[in-house]
Amino acid sequence: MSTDSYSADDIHELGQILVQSGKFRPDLWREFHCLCCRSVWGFLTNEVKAAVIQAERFFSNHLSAAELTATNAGMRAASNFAWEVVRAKKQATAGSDAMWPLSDDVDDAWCAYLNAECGRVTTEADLTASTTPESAASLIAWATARKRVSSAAGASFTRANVESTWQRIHDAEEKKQARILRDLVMRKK
Amino acid sequence: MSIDSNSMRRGMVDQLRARGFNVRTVAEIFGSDPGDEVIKSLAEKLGGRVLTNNMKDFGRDIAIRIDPRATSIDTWTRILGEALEP
Repeated sequence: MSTDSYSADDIHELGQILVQSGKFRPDLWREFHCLCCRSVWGFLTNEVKAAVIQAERFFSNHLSAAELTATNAGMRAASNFAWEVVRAKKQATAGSDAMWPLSDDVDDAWCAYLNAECGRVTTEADLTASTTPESAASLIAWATARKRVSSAAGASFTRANVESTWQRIHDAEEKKQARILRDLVMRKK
Repeated sequence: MSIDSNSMRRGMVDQLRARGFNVRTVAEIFGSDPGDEVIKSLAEKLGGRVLTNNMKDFGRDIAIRIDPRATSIDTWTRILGEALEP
């Protein structure tokens, strides 16, 4: 990474810079994913926290590839199950609309799915630079955006308001992830 | 399938292509935004779909609208796989 590259806040872009400069290492990328999960630790379920700890043990050579794969299989199953729950709550509209209503149970279903995705991605055997910790950024955003808007005095509770609040939280989290990655790369230099 | 990529994070189009989706951004096809009517007309001619939030102008047979909760390539793959099922 050049000094200029450090200004980028786009994780995908930063990952590609690492690849192009020959500095991408799967273990570094896994550690980055784990750190991003650590940054939203309070929003993770115990099952996902355990999976992240397994991934940390893997990159520090305290866990075998077979054990990591077994953990990943569990998280993949959890993600598939959670997606079916999310899917069942999709807004009933004609055509190919893929929209969900704004409600506690929908938020909970999405957060359960994003949780499982955090665990699944972090324990993937082949973690490439194109796999970003997107679910961690989305998790904190969806866990808090709607509640923040509904509790804000004077704020009108509209979908547009919730989505713009979500976007702000998500963008802030993504910037935090970019800082985490830059710090990690500097530390590993 | 064409996409208004303004609302999409960078790299998503490449990742969708890598997963076998035949995706072109509006900018790739037209250079600049030609307006919804032209995009809709091309989609109808090619039997394509348009990823957009504008359901009103494109209609439900053409448009695919994706909730902003879906942000990762894996979630998009799930949603598009289901939306494009015959």
